[in-house]
Amino acid sequence: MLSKMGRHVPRNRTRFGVLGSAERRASATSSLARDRKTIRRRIIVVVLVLLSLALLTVSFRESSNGPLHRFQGYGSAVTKPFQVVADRIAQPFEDAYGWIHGMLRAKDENKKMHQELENLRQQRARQKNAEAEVKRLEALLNYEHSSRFPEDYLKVNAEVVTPATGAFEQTIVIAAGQNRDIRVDDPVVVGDGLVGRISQVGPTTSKVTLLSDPGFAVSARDLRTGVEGIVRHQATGSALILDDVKIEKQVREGDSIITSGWRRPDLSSLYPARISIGRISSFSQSDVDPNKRIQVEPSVDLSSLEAVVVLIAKNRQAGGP
Amino acid sequence: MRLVLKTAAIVFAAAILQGSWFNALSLGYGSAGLLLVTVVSLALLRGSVFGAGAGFAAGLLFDISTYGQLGLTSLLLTLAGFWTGRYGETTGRDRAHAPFLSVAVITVLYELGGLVVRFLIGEPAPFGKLVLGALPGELVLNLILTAPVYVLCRRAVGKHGDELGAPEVRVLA
Repeated sequence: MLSKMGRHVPRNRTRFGVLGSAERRASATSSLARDRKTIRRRIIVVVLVLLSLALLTVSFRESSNGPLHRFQGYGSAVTKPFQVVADRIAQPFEDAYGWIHGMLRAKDENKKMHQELENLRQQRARQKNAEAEVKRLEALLNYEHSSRFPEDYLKVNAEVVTPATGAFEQTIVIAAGQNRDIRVDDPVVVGDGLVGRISQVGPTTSKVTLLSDPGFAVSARDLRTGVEGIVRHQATGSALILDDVKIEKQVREGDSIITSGWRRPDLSSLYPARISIGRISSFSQSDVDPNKRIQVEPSVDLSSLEAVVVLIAKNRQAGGP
Repeated sequence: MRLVLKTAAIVFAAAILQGSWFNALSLGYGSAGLLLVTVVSLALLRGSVFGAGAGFAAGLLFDISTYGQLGLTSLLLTLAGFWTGRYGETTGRDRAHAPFLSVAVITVLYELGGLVVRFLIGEPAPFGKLVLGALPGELVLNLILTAPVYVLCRRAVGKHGDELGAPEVRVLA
């Protein structure tokens, strides 16, 4: 193969074969210089690259107290004044750039801040709800351990599943039913007072008829004077009234109204005694009506119930009715 | 000698400004690379050896002043200066777009090279953040800097061959 190539290539062929002898010498000199320049260039670059690699390796491997790091520290100290000067000179430009940059970003930032604010508001609302719930549960707990809690009853705590929403029927649904031994007519209370009674029982839920329901009635008495009557819903309007109180009986505004919890040998009230119902907000009387007209403000806010206590008679647990 | 002093002053100023202000001049995650643009401009104007030397010095100064990993920026800027210089000596000679093309290509290669070296020495090298976050902004800022920096460098150090006057023409036929 090589011998074949040799036949076609002249033996005296050079890179300058087409030039005359003078030009050949000049070109040869130029080429040599160019080759030297190339070699020199390559050597310089290789040396610089190797130097960089050496610096990189040594500085990477040595400790922070090593000579290269110390050198770096001194070098940085030397350049620092220049940096400070540069910073001061550049400060107005930097401020201007920051201002323009800030203006460009302001819109996005504003949107982001609004979103953040909204999140914080929601978080605050959730926190407030949680705090309110803690207070309610604490109130329930305090009620259960207080002297006001009726002795002959056991408690069943239950969460309100469906709040009162009906305009005509004031009821709520709680998350406890036959599974917790709840029965119809069991009284339902919270720490502040009477809520209502169980009107329907399911396997795991129950319906509670609230104190504010038109069909609800409970025998009650004035805590101060002992005057007895029946708390029921007013025929017209939405207020509670203490009915069947004769005009000669003494009551006054602000008197506490509690359940009377009467007992007879063959019959007793559905509700234990001394559970708060509310306070007398106003009263009036006339010559044509033998009874006083007494309005009662409920002590429980029935519109925001979240958890209640169902009272179960102990004698029922022991095999009673 | 005068040329070397002028170049040293330019490189020093660029390294100081890069460390003090241009690092903060950002677009997205990318910051402006005044030092890189300066080295590329010098290399285009004065050739590969000059570019490599300027790159090495600039990198060393920058790493020293900012407590960077000593040798890392030197290595990258040496190679950047050398390759840009070769491009200027050959195909890029007297082309108006050469500075912009060089800055664009070298910016990408510089960042990728930096990423590789950082990865090799075990430092954090987030490829996605660099390519999607930093590189586009850096590219734009560097291209904006290219024209003024190139003009300033040309005024300061001139172009290789300018001092020789008109090129000699020899007829060899």
